[in-house]
Amino acid sequence: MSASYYIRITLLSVFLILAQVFVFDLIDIEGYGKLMAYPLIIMILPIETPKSVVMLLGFAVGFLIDFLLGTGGLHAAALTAMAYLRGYWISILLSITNNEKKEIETMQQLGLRNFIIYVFLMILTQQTAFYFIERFSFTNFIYTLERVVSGTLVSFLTICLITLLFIPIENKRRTMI
Amino acid sequence: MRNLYYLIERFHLIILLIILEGISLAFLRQKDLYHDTIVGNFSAQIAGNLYSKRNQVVKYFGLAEENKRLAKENALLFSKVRYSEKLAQDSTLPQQSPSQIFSYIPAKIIDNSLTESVNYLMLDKGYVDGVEKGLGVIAPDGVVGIVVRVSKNFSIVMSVISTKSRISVKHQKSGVLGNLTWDGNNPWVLKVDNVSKTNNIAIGDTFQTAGYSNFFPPEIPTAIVTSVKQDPSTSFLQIHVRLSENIDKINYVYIVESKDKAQIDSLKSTINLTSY
Repeated sequence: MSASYYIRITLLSVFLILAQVFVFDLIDIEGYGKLMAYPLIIMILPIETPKSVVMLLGFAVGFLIDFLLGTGGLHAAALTAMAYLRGYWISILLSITNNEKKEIETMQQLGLRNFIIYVFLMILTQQTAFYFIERFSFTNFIYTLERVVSGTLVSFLTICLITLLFIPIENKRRTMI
Repeated sequence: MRNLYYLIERFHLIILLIILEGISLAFLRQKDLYHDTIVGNFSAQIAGNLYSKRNQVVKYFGLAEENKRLAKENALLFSKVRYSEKLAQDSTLPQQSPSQIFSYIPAKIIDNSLTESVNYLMLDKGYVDGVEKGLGVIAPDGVVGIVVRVSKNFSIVMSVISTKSRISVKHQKSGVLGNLTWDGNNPWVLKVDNVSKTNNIAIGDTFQTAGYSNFFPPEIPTAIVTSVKQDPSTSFLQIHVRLSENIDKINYVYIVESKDKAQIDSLKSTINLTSY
């Protein structure tokens, strides 16, 4: 992985964290989910990054957001859970697209369509973890589910937009789904 | 020993997950318990500075509405001044009215949440301005919440729209008492408990603060009844209300300081009363 890619990730991380704290956190759909774009940082890490490093990075980013917004450890808990499950989603997507781990370096190289499927699965994981940890029970299950769905939709659309604007999508995949 | 290494190597991701989630949940829980730790206060101070910067930009979008509210409040205050001038001339009335034992600290809301199960507001006044933990917070049209954490220049208020909040209220017409609570679902629907079926409560009626606790002055409008149901299984009414103050839209609030609070609190703690 080239050094310029890491610089790009770092710059994007700074942008996403500032955007979350100053803009996205203000967007509140009355009683429904929140817009979160910062999980993209964990999604675009190179595939070969050790899983433990991914988890520690997820925890660090989440904790920074918590620290800036004063939300305890809520974002950290949800992002760590997403970082843990990242490996599973990646291997599932690689196997159904008939790709080998060694041939591609980042998930963007699977092409736009597959990357968007990957983004959706990841953000769904993060949002589900977020709202259930926030409530910390399975009471009012339907209401929590509504928030997961609305939060996932707005976050997913925002991340797709940011992807199209800032992240170059290469196509190195061998076969389509 | 080799087996242990093997075990750790095999399950190191799960172990790491448990440790990291444990730390996160510990911080989350500590925030809910509102302990005054150094980290918590430092974080509150940083978040406070950040929110007030952010607020400086965002507040311009609501200036027109804020002006209208201030004009309305001005008119209300003006009528109160006129009334108290009249009272002062009439020397037969008692000199110390109940509202005089309360003083008010104006504060600006710099952050506000509505979507969590325990909602917090952040105000731009801290202990240097005389704010203490446990003071009530009101807005021109109703009750907002109770101060739960104070740093040097900022304070955090637990909103009425919180599953942990419980405020005693009084029906304006009949004077019957109840408890204002929230079940954690829709922030626009709250409940008033412990009102027995013998009372006559209609849609559109107002509940006020009871004024027994010294968190809030008496007779501050708090909630408006939106539906009343008879539950055959209990002897209480199921009353749904909405807050009379639109907490989502306000920018300025008053922190209520009661001069008798310390005395009343120490007296109450002897018999262990928990309701606000």
